[in-house]
Amino acid sequence: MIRYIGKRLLQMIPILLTVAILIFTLMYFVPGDPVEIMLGDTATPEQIAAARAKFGLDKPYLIRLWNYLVGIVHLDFGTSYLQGSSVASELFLRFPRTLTLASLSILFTIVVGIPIGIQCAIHANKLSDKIWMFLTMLGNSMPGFWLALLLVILFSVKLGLLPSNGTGGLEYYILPVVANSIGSLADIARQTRSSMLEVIRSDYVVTARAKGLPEKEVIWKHALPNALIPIITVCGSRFGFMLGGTVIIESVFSIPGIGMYMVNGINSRDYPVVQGSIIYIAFIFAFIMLITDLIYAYVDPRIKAQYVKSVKKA
Amino acid sequence: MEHKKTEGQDLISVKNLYVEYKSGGETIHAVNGVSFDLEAGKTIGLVGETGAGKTSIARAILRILPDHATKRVGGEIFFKGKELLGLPEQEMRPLRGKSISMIFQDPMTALNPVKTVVEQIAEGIRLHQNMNRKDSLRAAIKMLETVGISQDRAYEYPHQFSGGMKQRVVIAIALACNPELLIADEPTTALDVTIQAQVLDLMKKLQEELGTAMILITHDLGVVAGVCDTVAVVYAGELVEYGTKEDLFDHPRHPYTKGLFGALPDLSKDVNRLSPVEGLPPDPSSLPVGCAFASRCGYATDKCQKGHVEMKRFGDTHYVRCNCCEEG
Amino acid sequence: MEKIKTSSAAKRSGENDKPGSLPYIWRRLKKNPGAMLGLIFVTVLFLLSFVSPFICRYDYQEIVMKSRFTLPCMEHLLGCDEVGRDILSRILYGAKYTLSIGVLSVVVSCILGVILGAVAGYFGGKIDTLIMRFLDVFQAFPNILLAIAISAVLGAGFDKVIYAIGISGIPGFARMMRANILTVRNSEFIEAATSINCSTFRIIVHHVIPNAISPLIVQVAMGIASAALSASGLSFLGFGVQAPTPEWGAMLASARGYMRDYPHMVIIPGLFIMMTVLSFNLVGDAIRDALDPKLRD
Repeated sequence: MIRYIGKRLLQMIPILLTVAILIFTLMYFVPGDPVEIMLGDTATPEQIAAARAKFGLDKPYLIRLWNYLVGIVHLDFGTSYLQGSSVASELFLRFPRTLTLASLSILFTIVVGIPIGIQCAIHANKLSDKIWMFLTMLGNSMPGFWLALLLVILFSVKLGLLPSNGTGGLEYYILPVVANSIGSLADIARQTRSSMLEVIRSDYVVTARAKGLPEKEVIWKHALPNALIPIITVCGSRFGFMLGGTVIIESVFSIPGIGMYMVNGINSRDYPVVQGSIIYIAFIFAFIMLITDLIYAYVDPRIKAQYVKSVKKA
Repeated sequence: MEHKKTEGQDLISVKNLYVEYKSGGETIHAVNGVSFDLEAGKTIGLVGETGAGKTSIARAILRILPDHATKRVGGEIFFKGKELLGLPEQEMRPLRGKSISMIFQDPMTALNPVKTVVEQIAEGIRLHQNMNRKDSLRAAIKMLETVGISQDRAYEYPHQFSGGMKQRVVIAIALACNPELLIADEPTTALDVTIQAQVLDLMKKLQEELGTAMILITHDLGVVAGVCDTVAVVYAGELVEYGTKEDLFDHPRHPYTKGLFGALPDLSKDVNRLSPVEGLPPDPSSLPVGCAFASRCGYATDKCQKGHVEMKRFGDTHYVRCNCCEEG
Repeated sequence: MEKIKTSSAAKRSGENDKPGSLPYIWRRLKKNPGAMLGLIFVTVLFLLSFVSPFICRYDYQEIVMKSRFTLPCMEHLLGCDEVGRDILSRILYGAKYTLSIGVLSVVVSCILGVILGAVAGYFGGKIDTLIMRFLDVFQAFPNILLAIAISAVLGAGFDKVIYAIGISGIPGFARMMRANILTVRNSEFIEAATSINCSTFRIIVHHVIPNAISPLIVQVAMGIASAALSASGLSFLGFGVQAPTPEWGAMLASARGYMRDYPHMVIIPGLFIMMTVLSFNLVGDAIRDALDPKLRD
């Protein structure tokens, strides 16, 4: 298993490298000269040239790309044009907030979404199922940032129960987490339901019933473990989705995480900031998907066996 | 139907069983008034084409028909004098797996992929025989050895087993609690021909050792000849002919049975999967008023098309549902 | 049992169209009230967005300072915004942005994705590997992040949102198409077509694509829903269509500063986004159900 993880980590390298090159190249071709924006209209050509040299902007594309990639390997994501600070240290400072938001969101999604899905599958096509299915459809269609605004209007402005922005204790995360989770929660509830329905009708569940097991054990011990296997992958990609979603949610709630850093970067054309944030999140995303695959392999003996076999061969 | 036996003698007695499914807006008549009896330790074969309702009969006995699709189950099923269909779920459950158990058609899908085989056998033992976990696992390993799987494979998962081995595991699950009645739903259909004989021999051996009665569902007449004491031919959810093995093999009377047996040129050859009779069975969502077989029958008359055909008795044990078979 | 189900399913579909064909889908869709409501809502919205300048009492961009922050009333059914523009007129006029961004960006992802997926799936080998690795890179980002990155490069604006969201949606279509092609390619009728010397192009256009069309329709409907959702997010952040254009996400962005006192300015545009997205989701869901043989009973 350890060799398998090592192999997977090695496989990630070319993808992450391409991601970095792609993003760097995209940002390279952005119209507009950041230095002119930075220094304003009053700058003299000498000042501009000096600034260009300082940020290495006068060098050709390939050299700049190479320098950037070498930098990433040393965990250096360049320097912000505007603040002059290291992008990497800013990212490390902000990442815990973004990660907290995304982790709490996925936790909320799993804890609420999966039980809803299970209940719906058990009572499939009854009234309660239909109501929940409609609600989840609604949740799936709702812009998270709009829900965020509605929640702020209700809980912060009208009721004064929860803070509407900033960071601090857990109460600062309640509204952002709910707003960030709504789409994924609805999605996971629906997927759990259909996965569960498929499993409930499978032969081995009939076998379990024929053994004389009580219905509760049939559902929880036989159907559920099988139904949840495909949900693991969904949860992984949804976690990534939420990391992306934090970009919008953070700016609604003024949470100084990576998302807000990036949005500010785009607005002020501070490309090292944008570049660094995107690549950083892509890296984190890749790790989450790897962990998801490992959990998947751990839970499903069929996949596990494949991996063990392939490792033996390798 | 008029049977002269009294209920006390029979281990199981199915009387006038009906099963209906709903599909879309329609009612599917899967089982339409099936009756048969089985004494302890004996074997009855239910023979018929795919879709004739054999599996529905089996699942109705265990009351494991699919909830979401089942519309109605009617009639009576007596097991050791106790009526099963009206039994509350809490009283039915202890019978499942302990007194009555079932072997399923497709061993590939009948085992839970995320549980070890020994755990799947031990689960039933633990439930019905009040054992602790350790003892039940030990008993399950013993059961695995009984069906010919060595104990060092006990903690493997189903995907590591071949089809024949999986079916052995399924058999082990079914026989783990020493049931009085075993329902085997086409236990060998999904297996290789060479494995079929092995599995069948194993079932027969264990059945004799344990004194278990068996309802064997099959469309393999070779299997029927080898294993069964009595045979019931099922067509479109009805029994069309019912009698001892000798009655049916030596004197088949119903044109459908004749067709089935006529298509069996030589018992030693593997021709069992041939579709023996021209045409297709009727659509179970709109069954004909008269004889369900009339449209495929060379002897069909107006009378067959018009009214329901009753079961007639020939000799002591032989029953036929046909207008053409008059003299006893 | 299996036979029973298939034979009766075939009989019920009746009017000779095979399950999965377009007339079949349409017939099942008509029986689904949710999907029909969704279709009607979107159609009415689409028509209204074009006739609204002629039927609305107020111009969508007319600034009337004295009616600033008017709450919904008989004069202004949905109230007025921070410079006194009638919200109803703006919503109806702005519908065309949300709808067309949704549809056009899916057209972009669909065309490019289907071509990439079809080529990868049909030719296999190195071409397949190359395309799939390329898509892997695209999928290394959360979807919305990719759209934000692209729009950061392209800048703000109506057409740029379409490209940003369209490009970020390519991998989904490509993967689905490839999977379908692989299924279809290995089936016997393609072998038959090859054996009578059909050209590759002809096989793809006449045999492979028609057989992959049904899942494509589902993906298109769902894709429009999520594209409209992403577009509103981009506009809300200021990277999409920008104020004073009455795009709903942009309306939300400019209403945000006044939400404490005038929540109607926030509630209404969001409600319309939600109902539009819901409509497409309902339709997509209904088509998927119609195509899923397991859900027929």
